[in-house]
Amino acid sequence: MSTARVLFKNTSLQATRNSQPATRMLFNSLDFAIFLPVVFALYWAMKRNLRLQNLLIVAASYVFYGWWDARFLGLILLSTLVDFFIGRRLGLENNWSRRKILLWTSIFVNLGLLGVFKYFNFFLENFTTAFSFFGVDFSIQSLQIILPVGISFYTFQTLSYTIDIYKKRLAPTQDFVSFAAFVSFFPQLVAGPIERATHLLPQFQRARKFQYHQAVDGLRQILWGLFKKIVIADNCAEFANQIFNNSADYSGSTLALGAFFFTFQIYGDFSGYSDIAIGTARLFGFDLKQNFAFPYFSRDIAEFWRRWHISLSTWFRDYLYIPLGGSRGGTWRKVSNTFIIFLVSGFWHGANWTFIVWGALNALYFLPLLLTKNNRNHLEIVAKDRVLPSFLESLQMLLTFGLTMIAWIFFRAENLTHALSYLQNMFSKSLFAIPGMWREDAVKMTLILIVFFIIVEWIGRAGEYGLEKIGWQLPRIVRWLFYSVIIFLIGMYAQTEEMPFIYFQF
Amino acid sequence: MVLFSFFAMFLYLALVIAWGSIFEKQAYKKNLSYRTANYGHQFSRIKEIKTARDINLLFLGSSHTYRGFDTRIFRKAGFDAYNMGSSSQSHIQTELLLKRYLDNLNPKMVVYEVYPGLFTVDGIESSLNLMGNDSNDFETVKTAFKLPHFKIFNTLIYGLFTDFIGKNDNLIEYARKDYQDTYVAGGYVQRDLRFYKNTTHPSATWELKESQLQAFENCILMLKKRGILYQLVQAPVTQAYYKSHTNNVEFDSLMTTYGDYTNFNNISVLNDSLHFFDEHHLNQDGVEVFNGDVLEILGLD
Repeated sequence: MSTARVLFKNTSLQATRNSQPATRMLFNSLDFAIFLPVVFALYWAMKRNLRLQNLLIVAASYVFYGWWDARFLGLILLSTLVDFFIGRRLGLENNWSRRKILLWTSIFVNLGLLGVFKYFNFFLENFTTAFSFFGVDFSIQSLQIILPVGISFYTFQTLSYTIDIYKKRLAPTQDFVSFAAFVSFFPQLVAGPIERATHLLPQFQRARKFQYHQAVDGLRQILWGLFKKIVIADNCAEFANQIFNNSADYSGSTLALGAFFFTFQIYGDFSGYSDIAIGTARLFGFDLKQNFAFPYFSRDIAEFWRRWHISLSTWFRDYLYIPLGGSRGGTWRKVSNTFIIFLVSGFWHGANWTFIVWGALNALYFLPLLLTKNNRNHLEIVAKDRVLPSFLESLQMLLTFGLTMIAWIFFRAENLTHALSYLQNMFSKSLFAIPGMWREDAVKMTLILIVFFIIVEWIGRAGEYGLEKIGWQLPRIVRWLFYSVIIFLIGMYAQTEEMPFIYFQF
Repeated sequence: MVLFSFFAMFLYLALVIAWGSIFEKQAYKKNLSYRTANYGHQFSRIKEIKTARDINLLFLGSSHTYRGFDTRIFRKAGFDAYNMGSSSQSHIQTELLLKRYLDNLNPKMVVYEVYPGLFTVDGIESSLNLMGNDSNDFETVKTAFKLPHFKIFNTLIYGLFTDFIGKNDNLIEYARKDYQDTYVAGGYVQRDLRFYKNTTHPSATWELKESQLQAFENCILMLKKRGILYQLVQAPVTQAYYKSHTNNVEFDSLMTTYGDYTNFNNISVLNDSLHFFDEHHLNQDGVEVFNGDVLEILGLD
């Protein structure tokens, strides 16, 4: 390489270093397409040695995470070490006050990390604003903090371990490698599902056997996850971004279309990630919990929340709602606990008032059901053993979908002012006008893809994921045709630019 | 699993061909961009290049080339000149074209236009343009693997099918197109006289891609191996646009390491409003001034 070329490269790189995004090993990237088969082959080559397999998982997970930013590997290691040793100590300690101190140390360290990296600037800004309201001016510099990817997920996962030991629901593990693998397991490290130690940790401690049907099922779920992410979410994102970023320029009906696209973007993105994560884990002989159970087929908000981001909802239920008293006690207690859960859940998603309002709005939706004791009406999937829903069920699903769509506007908006102006413009006279479609054919094509997606999800709604029923019940040739069509749709309608998963930022 | 892979592959090929044949609108075949005889007259240019032999002067580059070097002016000056530029043609595609046609063209001299922007692109758009307007061969397949992208592979599949059935064999591209462009023998495209309304540009730096630099070096090597004289030039863009880039000097010094290099942004006396029809392209008045400078400064007159 010539000196001039080296010099040019250096000056050019220097100028752009700050604007370059970090290299990310996304599930939908070429890096991961190479990484996964390599790890898979090595892993099953070591099938006689469980410890070696677990070590490989730890190493692969650290490489996977370090691909983003190796500096933050220290945080995972710290979290792992702290909870491993606190867990062991808790197992030996019988004195309740000492046990309490140990538990709070774990909570303090884990939530402390989360607080510093995720919420520090938010609190600082809000305190500054609050004090300036009373005429007291602070000039505290906010910190230039990068949010470590997936920190909200793995801190909750490790916390559940110490809490379960404290509650004597789980015996501490003595095997550090298994524990490290449990904390850092790469398929679900950066965006869940948030696994419980009671469910996942024992799987690291027993021998895994390669089962062909399990691996095929895993691949099928990965395929469906990729379709959801690359075809549905990324195509919806193009229009949702265009409309949300220029919301002042659009009519009410176009804004409604933008909210509709975002509703499918967020679902395709996050549930797609979960499907890929669960499918990948299956390839390695692990069973992760279902994270999404067709939430847009819910008949009320309570059902929606039993079907959306299940691993987080149940985490909050078990480690916050129930310890707060749950639905026991008077009406006031029930209402306040419900609000706390939804507000904390909103805040978990991000250090912004928009997420808190999103949580509060969902609590408001939920409240009438709770107060009228109708929050557990729909425990089974809609139209079970029937092909189509009844008229009433259709109306209920549409209403629930509409309510969640409105709530997502807060989730997507830049700030509260943006969200409110978006809603105000959306619910104007122009809501009934024909949407101002730029690139009309591309919008139509995306809508066709969404309809296809809904049909497949509807057919598979009794299973763990959309393609499961098709995978088990149809004759082989039809099945193969179907998978091939999905592969083709991914190839034909994948978004040109690589788009990161939304939930990585949480 | 192996059987399924073959099944899926076969069906994929069949569906790509079906989609390309059924749907007219791009939105319905998002990652299949097979366009023949489209913007830039590349189909006519390639058709002409295929029949040319032992020429005097060959121009290489992007739209700065096929809209910047008027073959009539150079032919009038005594050169059997051909223009092998195409829209957004990056060095990866230039390398492909040289592999295909350099031996037959056997030019005495090459003027290679090195607009820095073409070192910064991935080359996907230009590859698609070539797939639709030239016949596809093993070199196209090799280039496709350098640019792993659904759009490239789908278009290549459809392009190979189109070549196989000879769909474009009797296609005629009109010389006059889009009510504004006229194709001129030798590969130049003349835009009807228009004038540019100046706008401001945010400050930017050229960030060259390693793959483009590598392809550029391969092109230079090909010319050197055949003992073909070459001149590296940078055709003028509007001064406002040119000056918005902060590392032009570094780029110039990099280019001088590859051979004789002239940056006409610093030489040709042109006016942004009078001699351009957009920030990148000279209008016919500008082309005449610039080509006169090229003949004089490169000693071709």
